[in-house]
Amino acid sequence: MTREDMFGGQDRPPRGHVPATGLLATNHLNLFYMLSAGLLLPPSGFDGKHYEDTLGSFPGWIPLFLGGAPLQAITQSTAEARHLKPVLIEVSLIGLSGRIFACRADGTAAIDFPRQLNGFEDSLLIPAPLPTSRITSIVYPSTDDKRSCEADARDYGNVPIKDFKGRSNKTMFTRGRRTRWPPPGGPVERVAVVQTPLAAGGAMAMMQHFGNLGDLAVECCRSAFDPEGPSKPLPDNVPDAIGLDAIRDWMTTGCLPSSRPDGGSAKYQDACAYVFWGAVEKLLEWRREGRLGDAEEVLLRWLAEARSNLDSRSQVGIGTLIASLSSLRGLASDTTSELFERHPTPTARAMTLFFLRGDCADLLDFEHDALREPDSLMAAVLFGARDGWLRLPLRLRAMPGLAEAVSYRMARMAHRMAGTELSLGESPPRVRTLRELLVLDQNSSVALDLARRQKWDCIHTRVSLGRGEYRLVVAGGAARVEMAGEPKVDSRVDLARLLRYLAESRLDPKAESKVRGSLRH
Amino acid sequence: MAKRKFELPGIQDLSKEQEAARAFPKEGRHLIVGGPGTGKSVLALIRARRHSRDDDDYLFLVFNHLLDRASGQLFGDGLNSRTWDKWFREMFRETAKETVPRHPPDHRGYRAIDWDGVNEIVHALPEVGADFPYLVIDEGQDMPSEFYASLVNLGFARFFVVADQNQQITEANSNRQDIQNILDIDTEDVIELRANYRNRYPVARLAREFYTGDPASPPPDLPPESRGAVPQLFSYRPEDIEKVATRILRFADRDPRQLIGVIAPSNTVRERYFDALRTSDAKLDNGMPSVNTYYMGERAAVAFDEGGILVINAQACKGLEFDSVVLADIDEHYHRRDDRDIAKRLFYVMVARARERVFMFQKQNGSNRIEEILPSDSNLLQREVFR
Repeated sequence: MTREDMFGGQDRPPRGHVPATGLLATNHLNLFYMLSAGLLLPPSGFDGKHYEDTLGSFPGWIPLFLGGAPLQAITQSTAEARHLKPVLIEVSLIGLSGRIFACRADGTAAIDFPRQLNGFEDSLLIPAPLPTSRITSIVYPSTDDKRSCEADARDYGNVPIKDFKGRSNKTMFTRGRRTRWPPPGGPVERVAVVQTPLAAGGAMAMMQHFGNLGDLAVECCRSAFDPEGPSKPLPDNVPDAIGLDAIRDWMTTGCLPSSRPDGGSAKYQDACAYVFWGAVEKLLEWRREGRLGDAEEVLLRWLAEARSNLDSRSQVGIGTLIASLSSLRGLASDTTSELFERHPTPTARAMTLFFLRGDCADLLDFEHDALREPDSLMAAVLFGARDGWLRLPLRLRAMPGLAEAVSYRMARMAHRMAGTELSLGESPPRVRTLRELLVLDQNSSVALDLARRQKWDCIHTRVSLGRGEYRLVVAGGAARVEMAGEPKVDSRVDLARLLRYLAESRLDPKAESKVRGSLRH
Repeated sequence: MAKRKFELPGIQDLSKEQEAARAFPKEGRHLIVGGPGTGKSVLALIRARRHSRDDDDYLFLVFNHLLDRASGQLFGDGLNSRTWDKWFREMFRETAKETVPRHPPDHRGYRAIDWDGVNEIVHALPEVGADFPYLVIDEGQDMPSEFYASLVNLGFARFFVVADQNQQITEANSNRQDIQNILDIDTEDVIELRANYRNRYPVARLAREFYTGDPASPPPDLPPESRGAVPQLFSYRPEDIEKVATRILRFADRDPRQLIGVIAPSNTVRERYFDALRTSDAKLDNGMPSVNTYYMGERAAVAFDEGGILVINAQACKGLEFDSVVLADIDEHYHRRDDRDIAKRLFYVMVARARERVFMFQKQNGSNRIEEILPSDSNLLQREVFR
């Protein structure tokens, strides 16, 4: 037995540069789960559905093989069940930096990546999670396997496999590197933060979907996706009913201001904001604790707790809300209109919606004349926090650029919360709402085309006629002007009315994509 | 009317055992066994969807017209589904060039298939060698074992059968071992589903109270997420039936996409609830929902792809799935004190039809014999006087 057989690669010449990609060896079902989550996850992030693979060798760390995966790693990833198919996920390392572990033939050591690479690394252990936006391709053993895995993914409602480049390469699965896997030593198990970022991802996506409702909605999106960027003051007539500071706090640090009114309440504008963000905090806790118990009960318990911290007037309101929400868990006698009439505050309405509808897709489909912009936005946050990015169906992820933006931000939040100091590189830009884009591009023909296509009554047309004589012909209930020469016709949209229509209607994702594609920004 | 449709599961929804069943190759013979709510029918529909997507020649066989309709409408475009007996008769006629032998009419005028006669004819047939379709069979326990034997003798070779012998509703049915033996299914091609896929936790927990303990088909494990509200039992004054109807209608109105099954112990109760619901003048946000009824043997135009209320008899409910279930006048269910299992089995099936909510109603002046099988723990079933 040679030295290389035993320890692998010691005598190989070092790589001369920082590798552009690493390979994660796993199986197709773990791959599907991670694509749904938008994150390369540690086993603890799979909610009990992790199939043994290389992620299990150093829990909390993502092993990325450099220059090829060892055969043991591929075998390990399909050992648990006969229907598992091996896959290699190629992950970009460009822009990544921070404290990681490097596995070399002579042992495993903590290094500053990429500065302390010496070219002898067989694999890197990177603190989990990593954003799936770093995936450059998914490698299958054969085109048949690729086809079969892609067909498999279509059996689920939330596996966005089509968003990722797939390729086949038999050699990468049959001629694995002759390195020992798992290597001896290595870092101790670390607990990765997953649930809060997934909840934040769900909330970000839902705010984005409600982003055309108005100025507050736009500011919510800005605060959620660029919490450290400059904020834009709301117009005087638009109150901050949701608490934009709380969104920024959450998205920056992963934590919400204290839910005690006498402590953190300085952060909240009023009792409603205190009750609302306290409810979000409780949902995050519920997720962290493994979603034990019912989310509606979590909210009811929080309302009972919050009630005792509030003034007597608020206590009455909360008491009525608790009664209404409790009745919705049974065969309540109220109609939705009656419930909204009784509970006019955005917090109460958002919570009512939480009891009326089951998931994010249901909320997006819900319409009621009494609903106002803050009601929907606050409901969006609650629903997003409960369902998380992972549970969103494909149609709620399909907005171009949304998945990349959310995936990166979830991973960044996870690392900030865990204090890993891993830098994930440049942040993908947030997806601007259609409302913002139309304001920026208001003179383009896109707004006009949208108004025409949607038959929105917001087009203003000026017909300029040259000098001459015109004849008005009225016939068959219609009229026309006859003249010599050609008129100048200038049609423009009334932007304020267009935005009102945009807020009131829900553009289907296809129509929205089409408009986005036509806009300059 | 608000549309409902078959939603593909999320990756997080299927358990490892369901994944193993989903991953069975198209070729071969496979049996999936599991209690109500374990996702057998979802797996069968996913299977059919895959065949449909790949333009395969396949058939989705169900036990009765209601299931045929429910599966077809929930699947969306183009599920190639049939009721097993009608399809079998047609297929037999085409293959054997003669009609299926049948027994003389029974007291209801129904002429059951004479399987001995079928067997004789099939054995006399020359090797057919036809390219038989893939068969996806839902509620496979309700088809007689002779049906499977005849298919094998005719040359059918590709089976994906989902079954639960704890839910047999006919006498001429098959148990797990029958199906496995007749279709010659290897043990490794049989998967037993244990996780509850359909029911919310409180519904599953209540259903479990009615499990009668057939070891061949254990009750599913409780769902991991304890989401949902505790089922309620209302006792009401018979003269308040209109108020009960109003309450059910308002429940439907708050989410017009949900399909509510009102399951009655008899035709009389079914008609009483149906009339009260249909003629109600309840004030609603979204107008009157679709209210339909159906009784065994009737070919009604029941829509499963839209929200509304379907009032049915207990005997017709098996295999169906509703968002919520109202068990009407449970005091009128037949209950033999010397054999509680009969009523428990029925309640097991009825309760497990609900994905999210279960409500029960009993008349204040009705018999309280059925109470013997109901749980007294208010964490499982909350009792309230209807007001």
